[in-house]
Amino acid sequence: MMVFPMGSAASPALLEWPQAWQNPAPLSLLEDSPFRVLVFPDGAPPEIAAAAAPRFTLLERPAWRKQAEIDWRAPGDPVLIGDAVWPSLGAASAADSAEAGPTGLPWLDSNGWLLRLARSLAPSSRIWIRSDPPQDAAPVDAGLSAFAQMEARAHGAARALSLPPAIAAGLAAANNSALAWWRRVCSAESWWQRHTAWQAWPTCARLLVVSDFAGPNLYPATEFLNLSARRTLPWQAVLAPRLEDAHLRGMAAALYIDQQPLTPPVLEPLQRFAARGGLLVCLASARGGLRDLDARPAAHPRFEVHRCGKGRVALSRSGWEDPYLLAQDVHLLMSRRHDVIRLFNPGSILAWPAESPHRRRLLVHLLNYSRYGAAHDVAVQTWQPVKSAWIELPGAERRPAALRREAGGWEAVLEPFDAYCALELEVQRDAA
Amino acid sequence: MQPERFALTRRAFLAAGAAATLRAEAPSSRVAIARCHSYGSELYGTLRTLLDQLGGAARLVRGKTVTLKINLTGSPTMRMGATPAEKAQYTHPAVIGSLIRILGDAGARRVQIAEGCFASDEPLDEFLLAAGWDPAPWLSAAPRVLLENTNIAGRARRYARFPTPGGGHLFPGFDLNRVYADCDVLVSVAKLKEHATCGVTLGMKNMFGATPLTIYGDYAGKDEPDESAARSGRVMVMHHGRRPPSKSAPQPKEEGTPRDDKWRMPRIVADLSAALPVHLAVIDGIDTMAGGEGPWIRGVRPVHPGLLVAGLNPVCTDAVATACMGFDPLAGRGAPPFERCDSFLELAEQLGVGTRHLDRIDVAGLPIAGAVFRFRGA
Repeated sequence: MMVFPMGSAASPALLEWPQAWQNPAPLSLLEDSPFRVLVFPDGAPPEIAAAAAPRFTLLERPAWRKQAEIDWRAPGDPVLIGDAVWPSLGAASAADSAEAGPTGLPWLDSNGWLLRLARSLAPSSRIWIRSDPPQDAAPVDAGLSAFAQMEARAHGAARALSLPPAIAAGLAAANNSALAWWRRVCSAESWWQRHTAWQAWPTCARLLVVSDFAGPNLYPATEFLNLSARRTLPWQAVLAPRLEDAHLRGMAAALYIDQQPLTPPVLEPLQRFAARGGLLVCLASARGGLRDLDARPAAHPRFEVHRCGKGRVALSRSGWEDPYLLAQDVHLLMSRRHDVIRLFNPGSILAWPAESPHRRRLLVHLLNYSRYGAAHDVAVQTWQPVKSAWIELPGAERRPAALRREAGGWEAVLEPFDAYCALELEVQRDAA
Repeated sequence: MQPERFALTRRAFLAAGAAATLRAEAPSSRVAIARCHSYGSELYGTLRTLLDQLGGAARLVRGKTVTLKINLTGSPTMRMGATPAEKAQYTHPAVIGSLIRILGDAGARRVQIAEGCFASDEPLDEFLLAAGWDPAPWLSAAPRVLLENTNIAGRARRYARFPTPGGGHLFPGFDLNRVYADCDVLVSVAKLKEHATCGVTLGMKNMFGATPLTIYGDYAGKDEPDESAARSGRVMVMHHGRRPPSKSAPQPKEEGTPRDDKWRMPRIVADLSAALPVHLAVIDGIDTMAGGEGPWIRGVRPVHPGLLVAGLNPVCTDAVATACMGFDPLAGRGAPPFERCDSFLELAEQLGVGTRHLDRIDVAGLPIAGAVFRFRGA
């Protein structure tokens, strides 16, 4: 396996060499494409390796791992996650539907939370993911593959492109429909090659999730991250032993999710955070040596909420049995006042805010998981004063977005989009 | 065999007689209408004048605890196109804020803002934030203001029972959050809208949102209210009667009744109006929507009637508001706006809550003729 230099999260585009390609001829197809890393799950045949070696990086027999098996204390570079899901809109339940009535949120299969977790825990590593194309997908649905590539890119990672067998065969035969499929996917990747800086922008969040992301803590931690992302509640994550005061700077809340009682290296930064005015959420059984808790906690169905210095400590009485409730509780305990963005008419869209290194630009990645028709009348709102806004869609010119002032802050109404939209906001940090 | 139109049974005859008696006795009260073009500086004065035309806010609320039931139907993140919820399906926060201030200035001892937030038990202030509203101006608009999500038992941790006088059409009573009991004055702060299952949604239909999900929701407790069950809607229990409310609450008279929401919902609205008297209805018709009550209804569109309507009797107020929308409040099933449903105005009148006959209602301020904004022509 190749070893790549560390220090940049930007990743080249990856292509899994299809088994159907038995000779180097398809390399000519790849020459002008953004795909520069060729993945050979079973090793590259010598003839193909020899032809490809000068111009492409070969990744042979990659050790794709399940995310649950990754040791985040030593994740390596690149981090190879082999159990990504295929991003899609899940099946809707009609059990509670009414002829006329407001509807709930659709179920989405997304990798965003996983990729952002990997970016948080392995900030210097490339994050690469893969999954087989879904068995029931139309074999020539280029939009599905392009969307999967874009999802990974929006979260600062790269997905190894797996060609459906029909496409691989069609490309080898220079079939027109297969070539159209290929051009569309290449176009999506090429667009991201021009936006590599965006991929390095960190998440803009007011919530820090602290865990070892292992053993019994893995499930509640990862489900929380997934469901919080669904609530448009962005977070940053840190391994518990690596927690420092700097991680908590600018945060409104910290969730210590582990069952193990807080011990000094983790406890002290969290104690200082609460004393300065932050909210700490943890299991009552994990409070360890937390000090200065008000003796009369506020009423809450599932928490004891104590004053602690200028801040609060919310101790869960019932544990993390229901991650949906946990995500809701943490969101409401910290209050929507700290929402980085709000999304109106989200439907099957997931949004994730990132910010530029100098923190003057807020970038909202919007991914439409339905891909069925364009998302209409989606509005993004932020309480931060906004000086200007720009919209970019793959394949279209970057252009100014109309801004309006509403009760909840500054708001941009997006034009229809069917897969991905980027909204870049120039924010007035000093006034925020 | 006689033609069907003459086939009046004794039961129907008695019912019609009783209805006629009740209609004759149904009380009437003044309704005030005002033109108000925006939610800006003109709103406070216009609303205050409107209440003055009804006898003044002080007479109604001085030294009293007031509960305002506001209308926040549907998800706070769902909009009709790019139109913010407050200019379509939600009562505008400026109307609510102005009303709180007027009531506070008039001497209200406490103002309680109540709503059963969409499919949720979350605090009302958090729900407002999700809609992009800041609740802080409300909290400082009067001396003692509190917010309550009435989908659950909330602060009181128990419910209050509201029997329906005369037994009602369908529900002989309701168990509701105590914020509706622990008050002297109940105000319905509604929106001027059409409604898919009730024809129109005004001051009376707004009160449907008072029914707690813990008892009347799809996941309500079987025997007792389930305080962890405030999610989803009220479709199973209320709209379609596919399951009963929690046994601890008064049970609906379901035997032989249609499980059709356009039969049930108008009756539930009428029963609620009898069980839970509204002392003041204020209807926000400045910016609203036509074609339905929320963005989930196909074909809805934004409209600007530029109206505020208020009255001390919810049936009278809704009858006048219905007329302002270009409809006949005396219309029955089959005629606009009740083409597919029964008229809750008629059903509430039968319960003696108030009259829907415009010729018995004193209208102050803008005459109805000058206020008509035809929703179907909009």
